Amino acid sequence: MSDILNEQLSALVDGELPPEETALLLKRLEREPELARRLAGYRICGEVLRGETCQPRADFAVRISAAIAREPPGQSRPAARAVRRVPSWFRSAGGLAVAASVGVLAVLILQRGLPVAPRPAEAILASEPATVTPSANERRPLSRAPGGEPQSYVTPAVRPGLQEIQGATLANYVVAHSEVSGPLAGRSVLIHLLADQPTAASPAGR
Amino acid sequence: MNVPVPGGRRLLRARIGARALAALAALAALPAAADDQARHLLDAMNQALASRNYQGEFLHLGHGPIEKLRIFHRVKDGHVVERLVSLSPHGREIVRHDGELQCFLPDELTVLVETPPDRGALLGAVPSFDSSVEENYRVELTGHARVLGRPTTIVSVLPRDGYRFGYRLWIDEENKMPLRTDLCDEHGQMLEQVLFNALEVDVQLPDSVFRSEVDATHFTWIRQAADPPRAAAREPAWQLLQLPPGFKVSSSGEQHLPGSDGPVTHLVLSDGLASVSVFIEGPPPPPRQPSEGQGRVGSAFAYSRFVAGHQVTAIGEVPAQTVEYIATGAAPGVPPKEGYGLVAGPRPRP
Repeated sequence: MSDILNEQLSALVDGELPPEETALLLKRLEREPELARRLAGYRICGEVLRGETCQPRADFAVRISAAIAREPPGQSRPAARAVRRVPSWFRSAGGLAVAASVGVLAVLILQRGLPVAPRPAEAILASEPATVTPSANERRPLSRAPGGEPQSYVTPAVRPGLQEIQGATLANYVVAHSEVSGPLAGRSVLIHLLADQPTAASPAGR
Repeated sequence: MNVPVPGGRRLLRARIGARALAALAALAALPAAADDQARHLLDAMNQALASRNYQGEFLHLGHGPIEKLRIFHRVKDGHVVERLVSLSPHGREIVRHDGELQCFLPDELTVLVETPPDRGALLGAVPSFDSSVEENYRVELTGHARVLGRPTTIVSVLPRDGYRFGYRLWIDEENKMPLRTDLCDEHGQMLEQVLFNALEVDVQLPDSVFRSEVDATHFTWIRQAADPPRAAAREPAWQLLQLPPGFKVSSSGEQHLPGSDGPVTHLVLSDGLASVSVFIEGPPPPPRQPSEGQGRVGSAFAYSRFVAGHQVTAIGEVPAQTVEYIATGAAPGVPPKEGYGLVAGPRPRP
């Protein structure tokens, strides 16, 4: 690999690559998966060299490849828009409840038991609800109907008669909350509303 | 020619001592001055994000696939219009004209329209970087670097505890736009990154760029219901019996959300930087059912409880334990004459 290419990858990771070179490099990354893997390595090295404590995700290269694969070559706007492509998570959640859900269920990870930062024990113990949060290894895989569609996106029931936060409601809350957040955080939340994370709720793919 | 002066050596020592003290004082003042500069930079950045005209493309690296998005932002005659477009195949868009927000979801043939009715009252909660932020965050100038070929100043906003997230921002030294933004948890672990790969600032943006390219003619448009008649019975007042350190209720109001029968009480809490919303509404109309548990949208966590016949949900760009802690402390209280009972309860440090 040439020194120039190495420098370009390094500059891309640091956000220092000029836009025109970025476009060319992204196209080359599309053709050469090995470059995407090398890019992940550069990102790790860059942050270590700069003494930053942020840890890169292990699947960075995979996600780079996926991002490139999703973008139709040679156009900045997707042409697939005209095709009615209703995601499986949207169809199977069913009915008006989901029609009103704004369809963002895919970006919602209903995550009792999802590993999060350790919570302050004394803060929660004082008012611990009468529910037990299952640990990550207690989470059950989604049950599936014969057609491959998940029968339910709800992880183990918390209490009879109660469900986890529903995607419809949460989406509405997110939008309303973005209005009162600062410019940076509010935009961040909206970006997630635009993001597509089918693996969160649709392991079978589309 | 040097002339010995009685007591000269003592005087020299005194001068050296005074200079050393002055130098020490100046050194001690350096971090404070740097912190002030960092806060001013953050304020300038917020101002730039909200008030400048710009268009650009950026990559978003978060919990899922890498997203490429395009943004257009314009302020003209006091009116803000913004369009955020995902360049992923689903082609979702968000267009905001002042208070109205339209979310185009071509993959679901749906458009969501939100119009906060009491926007003025709630907008008082938009955080600013004053000195009170220092109670909950360490704000530091970390260094300088080039991003997009432009010089930037790196500002770190480090949370002092586990109740909030932190940021590292690469702020353009000329136009004050954040060219790179890292969101980190209290351990410094990066949760997401926004990295511009193209940005034009102070450009003329025609109306046409703010029109969605999605043909939504045959889509389902979901709007919030018109104001229903208010129930004669007064809703019970609510108390937030426990708030994490540094969080205060900064505003409250009522609004209608799509899918809700009646008005939803919206309380806004802030620690000076992060915001948490608490929504309190009556029993959800069918087919919705009462819910309890956690939710997540990117770096925003939510926690919901069904309490005394009401759905209480806390949501914010804060760790999961923070929203759970706040929501768990929500309880109906004695109705005050006006407004809602808001009590900052025990504030344990994690």
